[in-house]
Amino acid sequence: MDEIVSLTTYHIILSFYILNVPNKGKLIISFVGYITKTVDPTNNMVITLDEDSKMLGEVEITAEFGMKRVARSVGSSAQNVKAADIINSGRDNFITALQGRVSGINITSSGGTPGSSTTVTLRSLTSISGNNQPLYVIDGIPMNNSTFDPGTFADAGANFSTRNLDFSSRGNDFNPEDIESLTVLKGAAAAALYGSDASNGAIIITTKKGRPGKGRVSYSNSFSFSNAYGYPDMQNKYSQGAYGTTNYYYTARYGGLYPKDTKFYDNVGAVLRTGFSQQHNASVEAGSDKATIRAGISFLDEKGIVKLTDYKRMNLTLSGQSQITDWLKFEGSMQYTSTKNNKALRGTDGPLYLAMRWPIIDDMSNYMNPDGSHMRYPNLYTDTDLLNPLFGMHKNKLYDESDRILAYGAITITPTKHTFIRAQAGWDLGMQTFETSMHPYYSAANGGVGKYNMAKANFNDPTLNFLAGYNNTFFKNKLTFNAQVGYHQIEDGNSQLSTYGSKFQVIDFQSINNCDAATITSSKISTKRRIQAISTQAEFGWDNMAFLTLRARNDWSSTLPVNNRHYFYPAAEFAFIMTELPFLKNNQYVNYLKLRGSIAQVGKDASPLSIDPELQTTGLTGGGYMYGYSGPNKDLKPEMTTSWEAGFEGRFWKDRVVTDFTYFHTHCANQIVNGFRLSYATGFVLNNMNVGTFNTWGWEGHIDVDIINHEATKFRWNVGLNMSHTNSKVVYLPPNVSEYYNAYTWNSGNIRNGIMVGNPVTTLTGLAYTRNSKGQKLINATTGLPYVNSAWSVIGDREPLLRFGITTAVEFQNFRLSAMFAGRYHATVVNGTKRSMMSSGTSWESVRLRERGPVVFNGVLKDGNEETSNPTPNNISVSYADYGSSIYSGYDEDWLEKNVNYLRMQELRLSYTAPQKFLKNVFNGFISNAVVYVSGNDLFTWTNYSGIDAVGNTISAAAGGTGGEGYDVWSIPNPRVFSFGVSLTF
Amino acid sequence: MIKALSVLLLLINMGCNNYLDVNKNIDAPDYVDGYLYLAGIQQEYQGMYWDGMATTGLSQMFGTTSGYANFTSNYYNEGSDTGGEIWRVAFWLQGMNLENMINESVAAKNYTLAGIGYAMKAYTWDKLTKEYCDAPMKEAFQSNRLSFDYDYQSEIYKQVRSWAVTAINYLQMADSTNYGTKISANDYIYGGDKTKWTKFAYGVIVSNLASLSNKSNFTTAYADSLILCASKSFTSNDDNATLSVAGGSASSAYSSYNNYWGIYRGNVGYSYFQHDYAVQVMTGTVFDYDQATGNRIPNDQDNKYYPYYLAAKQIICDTLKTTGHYDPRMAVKLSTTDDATYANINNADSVKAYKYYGGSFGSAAGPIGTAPSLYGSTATTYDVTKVGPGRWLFRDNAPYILMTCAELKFDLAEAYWKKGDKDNALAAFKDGVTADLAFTAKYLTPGTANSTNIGDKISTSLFNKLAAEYVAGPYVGGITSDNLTLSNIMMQKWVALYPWGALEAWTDMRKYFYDISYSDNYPYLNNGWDINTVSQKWDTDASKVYKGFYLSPAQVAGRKGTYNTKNHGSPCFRIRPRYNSEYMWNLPALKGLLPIAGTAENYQCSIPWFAYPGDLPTSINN
Repeated sequence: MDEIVSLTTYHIILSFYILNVPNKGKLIISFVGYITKTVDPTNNMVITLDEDSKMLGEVEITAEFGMKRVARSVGSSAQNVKAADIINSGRDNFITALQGRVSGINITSSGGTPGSSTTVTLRSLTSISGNNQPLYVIDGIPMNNSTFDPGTFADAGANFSTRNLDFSSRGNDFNPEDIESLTVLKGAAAAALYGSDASNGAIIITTKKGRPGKGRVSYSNSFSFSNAYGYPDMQNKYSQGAYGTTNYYYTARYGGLYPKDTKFYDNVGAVLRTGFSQQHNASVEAGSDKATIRAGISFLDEKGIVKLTDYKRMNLTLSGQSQITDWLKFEGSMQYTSTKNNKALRGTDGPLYLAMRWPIIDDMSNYMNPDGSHMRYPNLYTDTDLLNPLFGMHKNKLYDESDRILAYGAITITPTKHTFIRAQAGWDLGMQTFETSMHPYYSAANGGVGKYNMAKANFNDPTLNFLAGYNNTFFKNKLTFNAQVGYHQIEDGNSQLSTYGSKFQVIDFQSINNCDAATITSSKISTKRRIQAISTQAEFGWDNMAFLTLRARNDWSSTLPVNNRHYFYPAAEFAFIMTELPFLKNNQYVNYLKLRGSIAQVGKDASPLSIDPELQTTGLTGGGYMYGYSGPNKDLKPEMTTSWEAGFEGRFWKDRVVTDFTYFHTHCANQIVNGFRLSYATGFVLNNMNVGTFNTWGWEGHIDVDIINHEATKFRWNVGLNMSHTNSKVVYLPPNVSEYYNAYTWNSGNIRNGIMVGNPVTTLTGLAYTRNSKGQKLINATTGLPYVNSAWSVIGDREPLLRFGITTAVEFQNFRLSAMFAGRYHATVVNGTKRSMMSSGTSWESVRLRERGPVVFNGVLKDGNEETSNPTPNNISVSYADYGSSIYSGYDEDWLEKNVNYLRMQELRLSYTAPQKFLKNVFNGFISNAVVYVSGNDLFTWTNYSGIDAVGNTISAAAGGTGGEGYDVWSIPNPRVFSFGVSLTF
Repeated sequence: MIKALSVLLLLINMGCNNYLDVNKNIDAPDYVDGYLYLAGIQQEYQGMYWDGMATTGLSQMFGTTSGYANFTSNYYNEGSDTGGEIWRVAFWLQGMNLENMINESVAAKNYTLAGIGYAMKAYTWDKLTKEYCDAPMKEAFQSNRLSFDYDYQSEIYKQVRSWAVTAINYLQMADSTNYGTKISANDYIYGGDKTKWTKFAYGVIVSNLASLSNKSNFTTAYADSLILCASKSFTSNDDNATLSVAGGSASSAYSSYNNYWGIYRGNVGYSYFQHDYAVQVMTGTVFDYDQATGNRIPNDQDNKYYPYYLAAKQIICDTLKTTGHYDPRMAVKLSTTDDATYANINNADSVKAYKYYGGSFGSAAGPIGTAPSLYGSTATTYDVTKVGPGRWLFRDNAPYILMTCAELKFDLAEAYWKKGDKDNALAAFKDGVTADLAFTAKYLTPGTANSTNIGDKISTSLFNKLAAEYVAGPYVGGITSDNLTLSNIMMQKWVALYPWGALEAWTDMRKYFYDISYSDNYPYLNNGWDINTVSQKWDTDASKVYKGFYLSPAQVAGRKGTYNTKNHGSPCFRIRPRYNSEYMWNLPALKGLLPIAGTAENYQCSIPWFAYPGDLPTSINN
């Protein structure tokens, strides 16, 4: 063997010369990690070895800026996900497909409608107000994963926010079919390579570049049907009105009994439908050992379960690589993506909530007035404030489209045997249009004026990387050494032009040109963030057994004050392969055991324009300028995150058990908190300051067992389990800051994401019951109602005790049955859905409450004896009749469900691979590979949770910070999906 | 290799600073010339009207059914920012914008603009301290500070006058700049008139000192300064500080182009209405109470409009409609549903016959009848396209009133009166009444017969005729140096401040301790009030300033309520600092305040320095 030409997880191309093979001799080709093949030697033969899945980890390689690294030397946790698993997951985007497959990853989708945003965290949160998502690196180039914030429309948040409108994350644009390999680098160690944007971890993707050998044409498709499930029943016993009196002026249902034979309508069902989606992928690839090329195209057309929602995506990819001379190699790729998405509003502006409020004696699906233009109000309903969601869905517009190009080119020069120079330029360019239009009649009493928003948002992110490296071995190959220095340049350019108008001239026409000129306002915002960085890295290896990697990086960022703009951050990694020790080598039961550890520090800059926020026009007579909510801060410093981790990975019992485990600890200091509230004496309402410090820690583990592996019958059953646990604690906030909260999570009662010293960053705060020192609820001695605190305090923690995923696959001859489950153990969920159904009397539970008769709240009277040894137990009964038009709107603590356990069958797939012989006989080699499959997604959920969605997510990924996971406020969870399709290779 | 690398790094670093210099906002400035802040700073005085929703209740000008009803019962809204608007204006909306404008102007020797800036700063902080009393002043606006210590009102009062003096000095200095129209086009108060700004700055000092008139050292320490400054301040309504707005109602680009109390912004609707006390004072119908029971005394005539006996001595006017007895301001300042078609607004008999009803604290229903809205009807919402922009000061295009000649003349009258200079006091008093009559007429927008547009229910010519008769009549012209009382001055001032100057009116009422009956030199628990009732002077008590005025838990009919228990029986003496600024984020600084800690449940009852006769005590019996 003289040279490795290309090395990926899927195939290794070795070119070598073997002379003087004896006649009729056999050639045995073996390579670690691949199944050994025995062949008859011929001239210029190409042999492809198949991956040996049992051996993963031994040769696992991570691609760093397109360069490879042997997994055994890596001192931090890195987990590979097979491209096939992503493609077979049945998900239309690769991000969602990772849930349950990687330990310590948490993926929250903002909902089950097409084109929802996704929020990904690895291990734990690292920022209380900023970005917590990992960096996506495609062939060494950072990929833009932004999510449009509807609060930045020119109506300045007047109509939409991250609560009620959600646009797709740009990461969902990426075509899963283009993935060759995907590695998840958890923890801060990745940042020393990719910079501070990777301080939340990194997802490293290498794309397919085409394979040498016989040219291939591949085609695959997928057809899916989806339907919604798990929505609560509406009670149909009591009609609208205040307690006991039917009165259709009220939306609440506390009136008298519905007359016998009343016809009821499923109005929630009326906004839903059976979704249908189809996807077609085709690719061609060809090449020699000198050059390969690949082109692929994919179409996705998805109609969501909420009526009129859809998502269309087209991906077009061209990529290739070429060994141009002995010392120069070129590779490159270009991907174009086009998406179009029609959406529905969310939460309490969304169709489910509005349908819940619609009288069930009225057919909501009949949404037009007889005059054919106005929104129809329900029969009997005398108030005119109800909105018909179907009218809205048909007559409003919530739309976005995007065109995007992600491209890169790289050259690698190897001037000498031991050195290389790599230069890489990448460009991620996107042009997006976001549009909303609210119909004039979609308003109380059909009395609106029409509102139109459009935003054109472009991003332009060019990247440059220069790397120079040296590697060699010493002491009779015992010591391996490689070193690398790099220069990196990153730019995030954003420009957005937004316009807003109202008062539609033509009622049914959606355009800014149709708005009253006096109402039109426009705004433009452009930001640019630039980073220059120098990185260096040295790896020492001893006898393939012990590895030490030292790294350092220094960044200069444009977003910080000039004096504080550069920051240095070091990292060290250590790996030790126990099974290389003489007494463990070739042990039958312990096949591979690696101990590893790393420590890393990462600096992080601010977001653009944090130092000097712009002045705003006043909107008052005379105009001029004034400060907005946030003030300048000329002294911002970079924030610093220090983290360490330790763990092991191993294979046991003839490689049938594969496992790894990591414990991590992260210290996030000097957090730049945006929108930090202090006394107005600062001159401002909100401030950008270095104020927060918190720690997170936890563990993640993975075990994968071949329970049955019977070679002869080709019967194999494999089970894998991922688990993780994280915890966090806020160490410091300024003493006068009792709570830092994200106002957009303030969505159900007074519950919100509140961050308080000594508590986790995932804490829920709210107005708790007032209790005595024994913890008993205090009850008003006159009314019999509980007292509630006027100040916010800790009432729960959203972080579950455990997150886990289970994968299993059974292979028998040409059949493969696989399943994947994801779950949580002991989570706390805000059941805002239940709260609104209870206070409006639409749930059966509210009926039971009403019929239960007077109730005595559990607690003690606040009569002066509450702190004595003999507090007076509450004996005052409260009648629900006293409440009039609401039965029980309750208190914050009532709407937290604690110890929620949940297990969802995310995937179930049965595939059949046609036997080669059959293909040869029938298609005469025209089709070389054929797979047919049927699959299901999100088929079942087992949970003790009583609302719609135990995961919940009340805000879009655009909100950042600690996110909206754990809030179920009329969520639309992922629907049940049935799919089938074929995959053919010609 | 290493050498080559370090050269490379050096080159990169040299290039760095230009390459990285992209953190500039190219869509909006982060810095503008001083004059571009000016209009915005001034227009934020709309916040005075916003907090007027609280102070009109505290001064018994308005009652309300809105969320501000707590203020009418001398309490506050827990966990809420209501009543915190001036705080927001002083620290944020004007805040650093005003600081920037002043600092840039001083640096550039643009002394006129610097002077205007200081004059406004003095005015804002004068109002701030009158509303909230103590506040962070010295540490305010210091960058990178996380907590802000409070300064006591005694310090803030001094600083307010010092800023006003700084303003006067700058306004006298020669500018190095030719402003062109930069100031005149952006100054919505005086259009860049330096003389008027100078008078304004003096006026701030007058108003500031006037609130100290009940301190034991007023005549020796403050009265002469007040009289001197008043002589350099407003001489006519032309000098009044009023802030003009673009108006435009529905066709305005931004709703805030319209007056806060106008129809279009919908802030008032029918949830605010004239209080019964305002009707009693301005129509001369202050009741006579049975001092044994506190009840009103029914008269035996079957007159539903005057069902009770009225106090023999009325201060503003009486119910006689003979020449000179009728104060035409009632037809403007108060609202009535009479003459809904504006058919007879030029007919004196018709106008004089209007009936006025005031509401109670939390309901439009009053002791005699139901109060209409400020617009003169009982509609709950108004469609500006049908009824127009409103009337008088309750109009989309009405200017905001900041300070008037009448107000300062009454301040002067009070100072002379305290000094015992009754002749000058009387002259100033008459100037004040005359000025307020002219002020009232200035914003008259009479309705048009049979028009649906809301308007005032008296023609300007009739108003002026009746005003002249009133000035010559018994309640103004008939008063002599000998029988001029403090009640005449303070109640005429109260009427002049109605309702735009509610904060000043409330300040006056607080400095006279709401006419509570107490011994010692200030009222406290069980000396003026107990946990259930405030004992108030009877109108027959010569020392009672505000005749007919009773707090809600007083001994008379319609007032026999109780305060929230957290008040410990005390009326409210200050509005709490803005909740989401101070109670959420600066709590430790509030803890140390005296005499009642800012964190105490009755902090709103902590007596302010301006009202306390001497130096503030460190503790108080409460």
